[in-house]
Amino acid sequence: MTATGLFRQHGGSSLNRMILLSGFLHSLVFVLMIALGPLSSPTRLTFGPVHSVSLVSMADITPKSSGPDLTREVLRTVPPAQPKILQKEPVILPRKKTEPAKQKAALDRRIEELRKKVEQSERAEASRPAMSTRFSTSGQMSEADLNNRMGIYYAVLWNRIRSQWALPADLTKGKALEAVVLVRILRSGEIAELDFEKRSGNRYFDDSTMKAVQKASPFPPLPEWIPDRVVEIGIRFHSSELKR
Amino acid sequence: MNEPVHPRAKITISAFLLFLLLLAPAPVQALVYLDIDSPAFHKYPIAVADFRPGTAGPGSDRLSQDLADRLGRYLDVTGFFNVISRKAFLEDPRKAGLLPGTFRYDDWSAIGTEFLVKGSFKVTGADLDIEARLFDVVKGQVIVAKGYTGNKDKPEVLLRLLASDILVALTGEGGVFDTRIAFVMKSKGKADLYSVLFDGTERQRLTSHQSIIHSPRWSPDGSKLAFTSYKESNPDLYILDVVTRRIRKILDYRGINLSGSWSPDSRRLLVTLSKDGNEEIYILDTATYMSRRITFSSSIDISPAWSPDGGRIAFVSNRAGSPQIYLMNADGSNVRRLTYEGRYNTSPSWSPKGKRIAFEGMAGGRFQIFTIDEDGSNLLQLTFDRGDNESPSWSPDGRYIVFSSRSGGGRILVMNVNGTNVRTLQDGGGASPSWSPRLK
Repeated sequence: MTATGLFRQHGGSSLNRMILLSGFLHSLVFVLMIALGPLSSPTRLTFGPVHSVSLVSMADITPKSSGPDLTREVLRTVPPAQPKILQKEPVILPRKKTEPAKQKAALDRRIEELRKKVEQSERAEASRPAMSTRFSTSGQMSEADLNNRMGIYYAVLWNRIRSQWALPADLTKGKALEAVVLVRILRSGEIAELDFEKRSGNRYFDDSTMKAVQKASPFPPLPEWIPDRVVEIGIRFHSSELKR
Repeated sequence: MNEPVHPRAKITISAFLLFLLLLAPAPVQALVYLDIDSPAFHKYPIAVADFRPGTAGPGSDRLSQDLADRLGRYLDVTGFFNVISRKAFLEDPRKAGLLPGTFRYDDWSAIGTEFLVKGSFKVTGADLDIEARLFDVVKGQVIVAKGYTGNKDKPEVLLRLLASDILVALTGEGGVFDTRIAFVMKSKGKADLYSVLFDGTERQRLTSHQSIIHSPRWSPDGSKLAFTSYKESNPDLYILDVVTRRIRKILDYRGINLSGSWSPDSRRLLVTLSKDGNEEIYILDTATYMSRRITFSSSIDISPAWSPDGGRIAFVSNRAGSPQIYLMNADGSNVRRLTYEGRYNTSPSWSPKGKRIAFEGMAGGRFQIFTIDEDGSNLLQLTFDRGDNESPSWSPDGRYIVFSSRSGGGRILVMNVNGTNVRTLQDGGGASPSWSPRLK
């Protein structure tokens, strides 16, 4: 008998069985991976590596002692309020002197120029949330760019909340505690919703985490390039370093 | 010839692939989590507004600041609060009221505080009335609202009650505002027993022995203070009645008569006597003066301290060569060694909350304060400076430890149990402190 003959006689069912078995085993492994994945590393599942990296570096760069007020000021200057004042003056002035048509045309031209300038500067300002100014405003941002920029915004939140968190060490009694607070932030930077995803069980600890978020708010307005109307983040507070 | 096989295999494979596709997680935008690993501040920020006089009179302005300052100091010494200076206040006290709704919480949260105390006072004859409120300015809530009445010459008594109420509300326990610390004050080789309030104020002299004095020990009911004095040349044991100030000599055996700690019922006292040859530990019944020996070894056994439940005793013995801390049952049975680190560990003091023992140990050629769990785990060094730190004693709430330092001619210091917030209670000759229970 040839190999093909062998194959033809018995192979049909045995190959099928093999494929089925292989399929079953593969799917079993996948199911196990999915089922056991969160168990073995619960903290990683929802954690974007891009964010955590930029968080650490931002925290090191940002002076911690200068506190929330400095951060607030720095960020408050970002929305372009001043250029608009510049724009108003030239608009008001020509209305007082409206005699010669020549002058009017020249003025219009200059106003137009000014407006363009203002618009340009506005665009430049808007595209400068914290660090990078190299992003072009035209066209769609890539996902990596967006993630990177979100990371910068998150780093600001992280720093503000952390710098507001006050809790005497005695009140955790050396225990390692964790509480997770969920915050929904409106475009204006105000908090729309604030709730516990997980309580630590120690009421002083839980209270202090909620307070830290409340004291840090309102947050900086969401930068223009954030597409969402509301941003939701979770903040995990740990007492691990309190342990002594 | 292969045709009958392939379609079936194809179907199987595509079914399998479809299955895999179903298993693949959907690309959902995951929620981002920020991790914050430790608080930026280990104290609650609190502001104390000047108290408002209920009746304008001479000196009322000064009193209104004075009350706020004193309350601020009491809160500060607890180690739980960062009291914000009034220079930072934004609120105009002439426009703002004391009740919720009559002032803006924003004026206070803007200066970084979480809590605010506002109060008023009224002097009527010899009486002082204080009414005070504790606000949570972040949540915009009243946490404590209370009135206190007392002697106008002793406003600190009312302020301590208020401070205690604030501490209960924010930390769950009332603190040590009604406790004193006894210690030995040496000057020119002679010493006497003194006591001060928890914050170092109101110092009182308790003896006039003008001799060497050792190891004062408060009874847990706060009525007595045992100590050893060389007043009559021999180290004899004395007990001071705190209320009547009467001092009685209790034991004057030949050799040392050294006071140890009291039993939880304040009726028995652990003592170290050398009447039988070497130093051994005895339990003294303070009503009958009968003593019973509980250690029997050829080595020195000294410095006994009762556990808060009265079931066990910690003591120091050099039975293994160097002085180390041992534990035994209250009847002297079941002796086991507690400390193994270092070659000199002594002066054990049992936390009133149980479980943990403070002691002084040699580290780097200096005595330092340590704490350790009663099972010998979690050894922790609390002091690190170059003065010898000795004789730890716990506060009744178990949150602080008082100890003495040989630096600067002898000082009495207090720290939080994690070694932070060290403050000086007494300069110039203090030694051998003992923290009282809560005194009525």
